[in-house]
Amino acid sequence: MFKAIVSAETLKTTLDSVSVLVDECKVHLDEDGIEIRAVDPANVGMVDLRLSAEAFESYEADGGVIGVNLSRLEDIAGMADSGQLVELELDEETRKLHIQIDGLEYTLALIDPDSIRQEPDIPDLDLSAEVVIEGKDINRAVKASDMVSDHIALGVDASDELFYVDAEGDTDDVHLELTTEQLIDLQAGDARSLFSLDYLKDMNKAIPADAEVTLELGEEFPLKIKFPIAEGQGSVLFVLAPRIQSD
Amino acid sequence: MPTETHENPAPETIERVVREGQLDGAIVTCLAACEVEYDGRSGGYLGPGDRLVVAKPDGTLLVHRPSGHQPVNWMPGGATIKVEEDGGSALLYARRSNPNEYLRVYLHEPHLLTRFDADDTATYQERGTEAEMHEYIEQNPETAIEDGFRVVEHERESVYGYIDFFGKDAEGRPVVVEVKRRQATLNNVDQLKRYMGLYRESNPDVRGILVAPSASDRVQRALRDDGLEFVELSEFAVETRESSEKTLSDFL
Repeated sequence: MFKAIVSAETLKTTLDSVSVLVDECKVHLDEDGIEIRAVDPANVGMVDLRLSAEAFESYEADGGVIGVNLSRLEDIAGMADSGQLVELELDEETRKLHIQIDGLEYTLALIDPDSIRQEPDIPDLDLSAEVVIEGKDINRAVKASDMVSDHIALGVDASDELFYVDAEGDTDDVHLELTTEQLIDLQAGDARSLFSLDYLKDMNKAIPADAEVTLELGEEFPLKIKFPIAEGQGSVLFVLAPRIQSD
Repeated sequence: MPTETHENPAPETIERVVREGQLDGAIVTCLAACEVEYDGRSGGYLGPGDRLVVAKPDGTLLVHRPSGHQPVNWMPGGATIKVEEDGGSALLYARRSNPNEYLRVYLHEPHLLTRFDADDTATYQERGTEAEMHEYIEQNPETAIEDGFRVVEHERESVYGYIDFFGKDAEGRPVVVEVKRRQATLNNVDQLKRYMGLYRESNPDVRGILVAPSASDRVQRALRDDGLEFVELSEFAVETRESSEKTLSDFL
Protein backbone atom coordinates (compact mmCIF):
# COMPACT_ATOMS: atom_id res chain seq x y z
CA MET A 1 0.00 0.00 0.00
CA PHE A 2 1.31 3.44 -0.90
CA LYS A 3 -0.55 6.73 -0.85
CA ALA A 4 1.10 10.11 -0.52
CA ILE A 5 0.73 13.80 -1.20
CA VAL A 6 3.85 15.81 -1.85
CA SER A 7 4.69 19.29 -3.06
CA ALA A 8 5.77 19.52 -6.69
CA GLU A 9 9.12 21.06 -5.65
CA THR A 10 10.01 18.22 -3.32
CA LEU A 11 9.04 15.65 -5.92
CA LYS A 12 11.07 17.37 -8.64
CA THR A 13 14.14 17.79 -6.41
CA THR A 14 13.98 14.12 -5.48
CA LEU A 15 13.68 12.92 -9.05
CA ASP A 16 16.38 15.28 -10.33
CA SER A 17 18.91 13.99 -7.79
CA VAL A 18 18.53 10.47 -9.12
CA SER A 19 17.93 11.11 -12.81
CA VAL A 20 21.34 12.76 -13.20
CA LEU A 21 22.76 9.23 -12.91
CA VAL A 22 20.15 6.74 -14.09
CA ASP A 23 17.04 6.51 -16.28
CA GLU A 24 15.17 4.09 -14.09
CA CYS A 25 15.36 3.13 -10.45
CA LYS A 26 13.82 1.15 -7.65
CA VAL A 27 11.94 3.13 -5.04
CA HIS A 28 11.54 1.61 -1.59
CA LEU A 29 8.27 2.67 -0.02
CA ASP A 30 9.00 2.18 3.66
CA GLU A 31 6.78 3.08 6.57
CA ASP A 32 8.92 6.05 7.55
CA GLY A 33 9.70 7.37 4.09
CA ILE A 34 11.18 6.50 0.73
CA GLU A 35 14.68 5.42 -0.22
CA ILE A 36 16.28 5.25 -3.63
CA ARG A 37 19.70 3.81 -4.26
CA ALA A 38 21.13 3.58 -7.76
CA VAL A 39 24.40 3.45 -9.64
CA ASP A 40 25.11 4.60 -13.19
CA PRO A 41 25.75 1.94 -15.84
CA ALA A 42 29.54 2.50 -15.77
CA ASN A 43 29.54 1.98 -12.00
CA VAL A 44 31.31 5.31 -11.45
CA GLY A 45 28.66 7.39 -9.70
CA MET A 46 25.99 6.35 -7.24
CA VAL A 47 23.21 8.01 -5.32
CA ASP A 48 21.52 7.15 -2.05
CA LEU A 49 18.48 9.29 -1.42
CA ARG A 50 16.16 9.31 1.56
CA LEU A 51 13.03 11.32 1.95
CA SER A 52 11.30 10.95 5.27
CA ALA A 53 7.52 10.76 5.65
CA GLU A 54 7.65 14.28 7.19
CA ALA A 55 8.70 15.68 3.82
CA PHE A 56 5.25 14.74 2.50
CA GLU A 57 1.95 16.50 3.18
CA SER A 58 0.61 13.05 3.93
CA TYR A 59 2.25 9.69 3.66
CA GLU A 60 1.12 6.10 4.08
CA ALA A 61 3.16 3.08 3.05
CA ASP A 62 3.77 -0.38 4.38
CA GLY A 63 6.97 -1.41 2.66
CA GLY A 64 7.38 -2.57 -0.89
CA VAL A 65 9.41 -1.66 -3.92
CA ILE A 66 8.36 -0.15 -7.22
CA GLY A 67 10.36 0.35 -10.40
CA VAL A 68 10.08 3.78 -11.96
CA ASN A 69 10.99 5.32 -15.29
CA LEU A 70 12.43 8.61 -14.04
CA SER A 71 12.14 10.76 -17.13
CA ARG A 72 8.48 9.78 -17.49
CA LEU A 73 7.78 10.69 -13.88
CA GLU A 74 9.80 13.92 -14.22
CA ASP A 75 7.71 14.90 -17.23
CA ILE A 76 4.55 14.40 -15.21
CA ALA A 77 5.93 16.29 -12.21
CA GLY A 78 6.83 19.07 -14.65
CA MET A 79 3.11 19.53 -15.31
CA ALA A 80 2.69 20.88 -11.77
CA ASP A 81 3.29 24.55 -11.01
CA SER A 82 5.42 25.36 -8.03
CA GLY A 83 3.28 25.31 -4.93
CA GLN A 84 0.93 22.71 -6.36
CA LEU A 85 0.50 19.36 -4.71
CA VAL A 86 0.97 16.00 -6.36
CA GLU A 87 -1.04 13.00 -5.20
CA LEU A 88 0.50 9.58 -5.68
CA GLU A 89 -1.29 6.29 -5.19
CA LEU A 90 -0.10 2.81 -6.01
CA ASP A 91 -2.58 0.37 -7.50
CA GLU A 92 -1.22 -2.94 -6.26
CA GLU A 93 -3.28 -5.00 -8.65
CA THR A 94 -2.40 -3.32 -11.90
CA ARG A 95 1.07 -2.27 -10.66
CA LYS A 96 0.43 1.26 -11.84
CA LEU A 97 0.99 4.55 -10.11
CA HIS A 98 -1.94 6.97 -10.17
CA ILE A 99 -0.81 10.57 -10.14
CA GLN A 100 -3.12 13.53 -9.66
CA ILE A 101 -2.23 17.17 -10.09
CA ASP A 102 -5.08 19.61 -9.69
CA GLY A 103 -7.64 17.50 -11.53
CA LEU A 104 -5.13 16.11 -14.03
CA GLU A 105 -4.96 12.34 -13.71
CA TYR A 106 -2.04 10.37 -15.02
CA THR A 107 -1.61 6.62 -14.77
CA LEU A 108 2.02 5.62 -14.92
CA ALA A 109 2.96 2.05 -15.83
CA LEU A 110 5.66 0.84 -13.47
CA ILE A 111 8.70 -1.24 -14.33
CA ASP A 112 9.28 -4.68 -12.83
CA PRO A 113 11.87 -3.93 -10.09
CA ASP A 114 13.66 -7.20 -10.89
CA SER A 115 14.44 -5.88 -14.35
CA ILE A 116 16.24 -2.81 -12.97
CA ARG A 117 19.98 -2.89 -12.32
CA GLN A 118 20.81 -4.12 -8.85
CA GLU A 119 21.18 -1.52 -6.16
CA PRO A 120 24.81 -0.86 -5.30
CA ASP A 121 26.54 -1.40 -1.99
CA ILE A 122 27.73 1.88 -0.53
CA PRO A 123 31.53 1.69 -0.30
CA ASP A 124 32.64 1.65 3.31
CA LEU A 125 35.40 4.28 3.21
CA ASP A 126 37.59 5.94 5.78
CA LEU A 127 38.11 9.33 4.18
CA SER A 128 40.75 11.62 5.61
CA ALA A 129 39.17 15.04 5.05
CA GLU A 130 35.74 16.58 5.40
CA VAL A 131 34.74 19.91 3.92
CA VAL A 132 31.44 21.69 4.51
CA ILE A 133 30.82 24.17 1.74
CA GLU A 134 27.98 26.17 0.20
CA GLY A 135 26.38 24.67 -2.89
CA LYS A 136 27.08 27.81 -4.89
CA ASP A 137 30.84 27.46 -4.31
CA ILE A 138 30.78 23.97 -5.77
CA ASN A 139 28.85 25.29 -8.73
CA ARG A 140 31.46 28.02 -9.24
CA ALA A 141 34.35 25.55 -9.10
CA VAL A 142 32.70 23.09 -11.46
CA LYS A 143 31.67 25.77 -13.94
CA ALA A 144 35.14 27.33 -14.13
CA SER A 145 36.89 23.96 -14.38
CA ASP A 146 34.58 22.89 -17.17
CA MET A 147 35.86 25.79 -19.28
CA VAL A 148 39.35 24.32 -19.42
CA SER A 149 39.27 20.60 -18.77
CA ASP A 150 37.23 17.42 -18.58
CA HIS A 151 38.50 16.43 -15.19
CA ILE A 152 38.98 18.14 -11.88
CA ALA A 153 41.19 17.57 -8.85
CA LEU A 154 39.69 18.19 -5.42
CA GLY A 155 42.02 18.31 -2.47
CA VAL A 156 42.64 19.43 1.07
CA ASP A 157 45.94 20.83 2.24
CA ALA A 158 46.12 19.84 5.90
CA SER A 159 48.99 22.12 6.90
CA ASP A 160 47.57 25.26 5.27
CA GLU A 161 44.02 24.26 6.27
CA LEU A 162 42.44 24.86 2.91
CA PHE A 163 40.28 23.15 0.33
CA TYR A 164 41.38 23.51 -3.28
CA VAL A 165 40.20 22.74 -6.79
CA ASP A 166 42.55 22.26 -9.73
CA ALA A 167 41.65 21.84 -13.36
CA GLU A 168 44.38 21.58 -15.94
CA GLY A 169 43.51 21.97 -19.57
CA ASP A 170 45.69 21.73 -22.65
CA THR A 171 46.35 25.45 -22.58
CA ASP A 172 44.52 27.01 -19.65
CA ASP A 173 44.33 26.14 -15.98
CA VAL A 174 41.89 26.87 -13.19
CA HIS A 175 42.79 26.96 -9.52
CA LEU A 176 40.52 27.80 -6.61
CA GLU A 177 41.36 27.86 -2.93
CA LEU A 178 38.91 28.19 -0.07
CA THR A 179 40.23 28.79 3.42
CA THR A 180 38.48 27.95 6.69
CA GLU A 181 36.96 31.47 6.70
CA GLN A 182 35.30 30.86 3.35
CA LEU A 183 34.17 27.35 4.25
CA ILE A 184 31.44 26.43 6.68
CA ASP A 185 33.66 23.78 8.22
CA LEU A 186 36.86 21.90 7.49
CA GLN A 187 38.25 18.78 9.09
CA ALA A 188 41.63 18.81 7.50
CA GLY A 189 43.58 15.73 6.48
CA ASP A 190 45.72 15.49 3.37
CA ALA A 191 43.55 14.48 0.46
CA ARG A 192 43.59 14.80 -3.28
CA SER A 193 41.69 12.87 -5.94
CA LEU A 194 40.90 13.41 -9.59
CA PHE A 195 37.33 13.17 -10.89
CA SER A 196 35.52 13.19 -14.18
CA LEU A 197 33.83 16.54 -14.70
CA ASP A 198 31.03 14.92 -16.69
CA TYR A 199 29.81 13.20 -13.56
CA LEU A 200 30.49 16.10 -11.24
CA LYS A 201 28.62 18.46 -13.54
CA ASP A 202 25.59 16.21 -13.45
CA MET A 203 25.73 15.83 -9.68
CA ASN A 204 26.20 19.58 -9.33
CA LYS A 205 22.88 20.11 -11.15
CA ALA A 206 21.12 18.43 -8.24
CA ILE A 207 22.85 20.49 -5.53
CA PRO A 208 20.84 23.54 -4.42
CA ALA A 209 22.92 26.75 -4.41
CA ASP A 210 22.05 27.52 -0.80
CA ALA A 211 22.60 24.00 0.54
CA GLU A 212 25.25 23.15 3.10
CA VAL A 213 27.15 20.45 1.31
CA THR A 214 29.47 18.03 3.04
CA LEU A 215 32.33 16.68 0.93
CA GLU A 216 34.41 13.75 2.13
CA LEU A 217 37.71 13.23 0.38
CA GLY A 218 40.74 10.96 0.46
CA GLU A 219 43.90 10.25 -1.50
CA GLU A 220 42.80 8.73 -4.81
CA PHE A 221 39.58 7.64 -3.17
CA PRO A 222 35.92 8.14 -4.04
CA LEU A 223 34.30 11.45 -3.20
CA LYS A 224 31.22 11.58 -1.03
CA ILE A 225 28.85 14.50 -1.49
CA LYS A 226 26.06 14.86 1.07
CA PHE A 227 23.39 17.50 1.23
CA PRO A 228 19.91 17.92 2.66
CA ILE A 229 16.80 18.30 0.52
CA ALA A 230 13.17 19.12 1.30
CA GLU A 231 14.04 21.51 4.12
CA GLY A 232 16.12 18.93 5.88
CA GLN A 233 13.45 16.21 5.73
CA GLY A 234 15.49 14.34 3.17
CA SER A 235 19.09 13.76 2.25
CA VAL A 236 21.10 12.93 -0.82
CA LEU A 237 24.44 11.14 -0.86
CA PHE A 238 26.43 10.94 -4.08
CA VAL A 239 29.52 8.77 -4.29
CA LEU A 240 31.86 9.27 -7.23
CA ALA A 241 34.77 6.99 -8.13
CA PRO A 242 38.06 8.76 -8.84
CA ARG A 243 40.21 8.70 -11.91
CA ILE A 244 43.69 7.59 -11.09
CA GLN A 245 46.36 9.95 -12.30
CA SER A 246 48.69 8.27 -14.77
CA ASP A 247 52.32 9.25 -14.53
CA MET B 1 52.13 -6.84 -45.10
CA PRO B 2 49.54 -7.23 -42.36
CA THR B 3 47.85 -3.92 -43.17
CA GLU B 4 46.63 -2.07 -46.23
CA THR B 5 45.26 1.48 -46.13
CA HIS B 6 43.50 3.73 -48.60
CA GLU B 7 42.76 7.39 -48.10
CA ASN B 8 39.51 8.63 -49.63
CA PRO B 9 38.88 5.25 -51.26
CA ALA B 10 36.71 4.92 -54.37
CA PRO B 11 33.63 2.65 -54.21
CA GLU B 12 35.43 -0.02 -56.26
CA THR B 13 38.32 -0.04 -53.80
CA ILE B 14 35.95 -0.44 -50.85
CA GLU B 15 34.15 -3.25 -52.65
CA ARG B 16 37.44 -5.07 -53.37
CA VAL B 17 38.97 -4.59 -49.90
CA VAL B 18 35.81 -5.70 -48.07
CA ARG B 19 35.33 -8.72 -50.37
CA GLU B 20 38.98 -9.79 -50.01
CA GLY B 21 38.96 -9.15 -46.27
CA GLN B 22 35.90 -11.36 -45.80
CA LEU B 23 37.54 -14.10 -47.90
CA ASP B 24 41.00 -13.91 -46.34
CA GLY B 25 39.90 -13.45 -42.74
CA ALA B 26 41.00 -9.83 -42.29
CA ILE B 27 39.32 -7.01 -40.35
CA VAL B 28 38.30 -4.07 -42.50
CA THR B 29 37.56 -0.69 -40.95
CA CYS B 30 36.32 2.48 -42.54
CA LEU B 31 36.25 5.99 -41.07
CA ALA B 32 33.48 7.73 -42.91
CA ALA B 33 30.60 10.15 -42.97
CA CYS B 34 27.74 7.72 -43.39
CA GLU B 35 24.05 7.03 -43.04
CA VAL B 36 22.70 3.82 -41.54
CA GLU B 37 19.50 1.86 -42.15
CA TYR B 38 18.33 -1.24 -40.34
CA ASP B 39 15.50 -3.52 -41.40
CA GLY B 40 14.54 -6.68 -39.62
CA ARG B 41 12.86 -7.41 -36.33
CA SER B 42 12.34 -3.65 -36.16
CA GLY B 43 13.38 -0.80 -38.37
CA GLY B 44 15.76 2.04 -37.81
CA TYR B 45 17.48 4.95 -39.48
CA LEU B 46 20.49 6.99 -38.41
CA GLY B 47 21.09 10.20 -40.33
CA PRO B 48 24.43 11.36 -41.70
CA GLY B 49 27.38 11.63 -39.30
CA ASP B 50 31.05 10.68 -38.83
CA ARG B 51 31.47 7.09 -37.70
CA LEU B 52 33.79 4.15 -37.47
CA VAL B 53 32.57 1.10 -39.37
CA VAL B 54 34.13 -2.30 -38.65
CA ALA B 55 33.62 -5.43 -40.77
CA LYS B 56 35.00 -8.54 -39.11
CA PRO B 57 35.74 -11.72 -41.08
CA ASP B 58 33.17 -13.71 -39.08
CA GLY B 59 30.45 -11.54 -40.59
CA THR B 60 30.14 -9.09 -37.69
CA LEU B 61 29.41 -5.52 -38.76
CA LEU B 62 29.68 -2.67 -36.26
CA VAL B 63 28.94 1.03 -36.57
CA HIS B 64 30.51 3.12 -33.83
CA ARG B 65 29.73 6.76 -33.13
CA PRO B 66 32.37 9.09 -31.69
CA SER B 67 31.33 8.25 -28.11
CA GLY B 68 29.94 5.35 -26.14
CA HIS B 69 31.30 1.87 -25.75
CA GLN B 70 28.57 0.11 -27.67
CA PRO B 71 28.06 0.31 -31.42
CA VAL B 72 24.98 2.30 -32.42
CA ASN B 73 24.10 -0.39 -34.97
CA TRP B 74 25.49 -3.85 -35.44
CA MET B 75 24.99 -7.21 -37.04
CA PRO B 76 26.26 -10.19 -35.12
CA GLY B 77 28.63 -12.77 -36.59
CA GLY B 78 27.28 -15.00 -39.35
CA ALA B 79 25.99 -12.21 -41.56
CA THR B 80 26.97 -11.85 -45.20
CA ILE B 81 28.85 -8.58 -45.71
CA LYS B 82 28.99 -7.04 -49.17
CA VAL B 83 29.55 -3.72 -50.91
CA GLU B 84 27.58 -2.37 -53.83
CA GLU B 85 27.74 0.90 -55.66
CA ASP B 86 24.77 3.13 -54.91
CA GLY B 87 24.48 6.40 -56.82
CA GLY B 88 28.24 6.99 -57.04
CA SER B 89 29.07 6.05 -53.47
CA ALA B 90 29.63 2.75 -51.70
CA LEU B 91 26.85 0.94 -49.86
CA LEU B 92 28.23 -1.51 -47.32
CA TYR B 93 25.61 -3.96 -46.10
CA ALA B 94 25.24 -7.01 -43.93
CA ARG B 95 22.41 -9.46 -44.33
CA ARG B 96 21.26 -12.32 -42.16
CA SER B 97 18.55 -14.74 -43.16
CA ASN B 98 17.29 -16.04 -39.81
CA PRO B 99 15.80 -13.73 -38.70
CA ASN B 100 15.81 -11.89 -41.99
CA GLU B 101 17.57 -8.59 -41.35
CA TYR B 102 19.61 -6.00 -43.18
CA LEU B 103 22.05 -3.38 -41.97
CA ARG B 104 22.91 -0.87 -44.69
CA VAL B 105 25.68 1.67 -44.29
CA TYR B 106 25.79 4.34 -46.97
CA LEU B 107 29.42 5.47 -47.03
CA HIS B 108 28.94 8.98 -48.40
CA GLU B 109 32.41 10.24 -47.59
CA PRO B 110 34.85 7.46 -46.81
CA HIS B 111 38.01 9.08 -45.39
CA LEU B 112 40.13 6.08 -44.55
CA LEU B 113 39.81 2.39 -45.31
CA THR B 114 42.09 -0.17 -43.68
CA ARG B 115 42.54 -3.88 -43.92
CA PHE B 116 44.25 -5.60 -41.03
CA ASP B 117 45.27 -9.25 -41.24
CA ALA B 118 44.95 -9.64 -37.52
CA ASP B 119 46.39 -12.66 -35.78
CA ASP B 120 45.04 -13.16 -32.26
CA THR B 121 45.02 -16.58 -30.67
CA ALA B 122 45.14 -15.61 -27.00
CA THR B 123 42.19 -16.35 -24.74
CA TYR B 124 41.09 -13.90 -22.10
CA GLN B 125 41.70 -15.07 -18.56
CA GLU B 126 39.93 -13.35 -15.77
CA ARG B 127 41.61 -13.46 -12.41
CA GLY B 128 40.18 -13.57 -8.94
CA THR B 129 36.56 -14.24 -9.76
CA GLU B 130 34.14 -15.28 -7.08
CA ALA B 131 33.62 -18.54 -9.02
CA GLU B 132 37.33 -19.30 -8.58
CA MET B 133 37.03 -18.75 -4.85
CA HIS B 134 34.02 -21.07 -4.70
CA GLU B 135 35.90 -23.76 -6.58
CA TYR B 136 38.86 -23.42 -4.25
CA ILE B 137 36.70 -23.73 -1.13
CA GLU B 138 34.79 -26.66 -2.54
CA GLN B 139 37.98 -28.54 -3.33
CA ASN B 140 39.96 -27.55 -0.23
CA PRO B 141 37.36 -26.97 2.49
CA GLU B 142 39.78 -27.62 5.34
CA THR B 143 42.62 -25.41 4.08
CA ALA B 144 40.27 -22.67 3.01
CA ILE B 145 37.92 -22.53 6.03
CA GLU B 146 39.23 -24.60 8.96
CA ASP B 147 40.20 -28.12 9.99
CA GLY B 148 37.28 -30.48 10.06
CA PHE B 149 35.03 -28.27 7.93
CA ARG B 150 33.06 -30.05 5.24
CA VAL B 151 30.68 -28.73 2.65
CA VAL B 152 27.12 -30.02 2.88
CA GLU B 153 25.68 -27.92 0.10
CA HIS B 154 27.10 -25.42 -2.35
CA GLU B 155 24.71 -22.58 -3.19
CA ARG B 156 21.80 -23.56 -0.98
CA GLU B 157 18.62 -21.73 -1.85
CA SER B 158 17.00 -19.67 0.90
CA VAL B 159 14.26 -17.08 1.10
CA TYR B 160 16.97 -14.37 1.06
CA GLY B 161 18.84 -15.78 -1.93
CA TYR B 162 21.56 -18.35 -2.40
CA ILE B 163 23.78 -19.16 0.55
CA ASP B 164 27.28 -19.70 -0.86
CA PHE B 165 28.13 -22.71 1.30
CA PHE B 166 26.25 -24.58 3.97
CA GLY B 167 28.55 -26.93 5.89
CA LYS B 168 29.36 -28.66 9.14
CA ASP B 169 32.36 -28.06 11.39
CA ALA B 170 34.45 -30.70 13.21
CA GLU B 171 31.91 -30.80 16.05
CA GLY B 172 29.03 -31.26 13.65
CA ARG B 173 27.68 -27.73 14.10
CA PRO B 174 26.05 -26.16 11.03
CA VAL B 175 28.11 -23.41 9.36
CA VAL B 176 26.84 -20.75 6.97
CA VAL B 177 29.60 -19.41 4.70
CA GLU B 178 29.31 -16.25 2.62
CA VAL B 179 32.07 -15.63 0.06
CA LYS B 180 33.10 -12.19 -1.28
CA ARG B 181 35.78 -11.58 -3.86
CA ARG B 182 36.58 -8.05 -2.70
CA GLN B 183 37.27 -6.52 0.66
CA ALA B 184 34.35 -7.40 2.94
CA THR B 185 31.86 -4.61 3.67
CA LEU B 186 29.27 -3.96 6.35
CA ASN B 187 26.62 -4.83 3.79
CA ASN B 188 28.17 -8.29 3.49
CA VAL B 189 27.93 -8.64 7.27
CA ASP B 190 24.23 -7.76 7.10
CA GLN B 191 23.71 -10.32 4.37
CA LEU B 192 25.35 -13.03 6.48
CA LYS B 193 23.24 -11.95 9.48
CA ARG B 194 20.08 -12.42 7.44
CA TYR B 195 21.12 -15.94 6.50
CA MET B 196 21.98 -16.70 10.12
CA GLY B 197 18.50 -15.65 11.16
CA LEU B 198 17.13 -18.52 9.09
CA TYR B 199 19.06 -21.10 11.08
CA ARG B 200 19.52 -19.60 14.53
CA GLU B 201 15.92 -20.29 15.48
CA SER B 202 16.15 -24.02 14.95
CA ASN B 203 19.77 -24.34 16.03
CA PRO B 204 21.31 -21.63 18.23
CA ASP B 205 24.77 -23.19 17.74
CA VAL B 206 24.91 -22.34 14.05
CA ARG B 207 28.11 -20.52 13.05
CA GLY B 208 28.47 -17.85 10.40
CA ILE B 209 31.69 -17.24 8.48
CA LEU B 210 32.41 -14.43 6.05
CA VAL B 211 35.18 -15.29 3.58
CA ALA B 212 36.95 -12.49 1.69
CA PRO B 213 40.44 -11.46 0.61
CA SER B 214 40.42 -8.85 3.38
CA ALA B 215 38.20 -6.94 5.80
CA SER B 216 38.61 -3.57 7.49
CA ASP B 217 38.76 -3.30 11.28
CA ARG B 218 35.26 -1.90 11.26
CA VAL B 219 33.90 -4.95 9.44
CA GLN B 220 35.82 -7.36 11.68
CA ARG B 221 34.42 -5.59 14.75
CA ALA B 222 30.87 -5.80 13.37
CA LEU B 223 31.33 -9.53 12.78
CA ARG B 224 32.65 -10.06 16.31
CA ASP B 225 29.77 -8.09 17.83
CA ASP B 226 27.30 -10.39 16.11
CA GLY B 227 29.17 -13.55 17.04
CA LEU B 228 30.26 -14.14 13.45
CA GLU B 229 33.69 -15.09 12.14
CA PHE B 230 35.97 -13.92 9.37
CA VAL B 231 38.23 -16.07 7.22
CA GLU B 232 40.80 -14.29 5.10
CA LEU B 233 41.61 -15.76 1.71
CA SER B 234 44.37 -13.32 0.88
CA GLU B 235 45.54 -15.30 -2.15
CA PHE B 236 42.46 -13.94 -3.89
CA ALA B 237 43.32 -10.30 -3.25
CA VAL B 238 42.83 -8.48 -6.52
CA GLU B 239 45.91 -7.00 -8.12
CA THR B 240 45.89 -3.24 -8.50
CA ARG B 241 44.71 -2.42 -11.94
CA GLU B 242 46.67 0.12 -13.95
CA SER B 243 43.73 2.07 -15.22
CA SER B 244 42.78 5.69 -15.17
CA GLU B 245 39.06 5.08 -14.67
CA LYS B 246 38.19 3.48 -11.38
CA THR B 247 34.74 2.18 -10.62
CA LEU B 248 32.94 2.15 -7.31
CA SER B 249 33.31 -1.62 -7.09
CA ASP B 250 37.05 -1.06 -6.72
CA PHE B 251 36.28 0.44 -3.31
CA LEU B 252 33.73 -2.00 -1.96
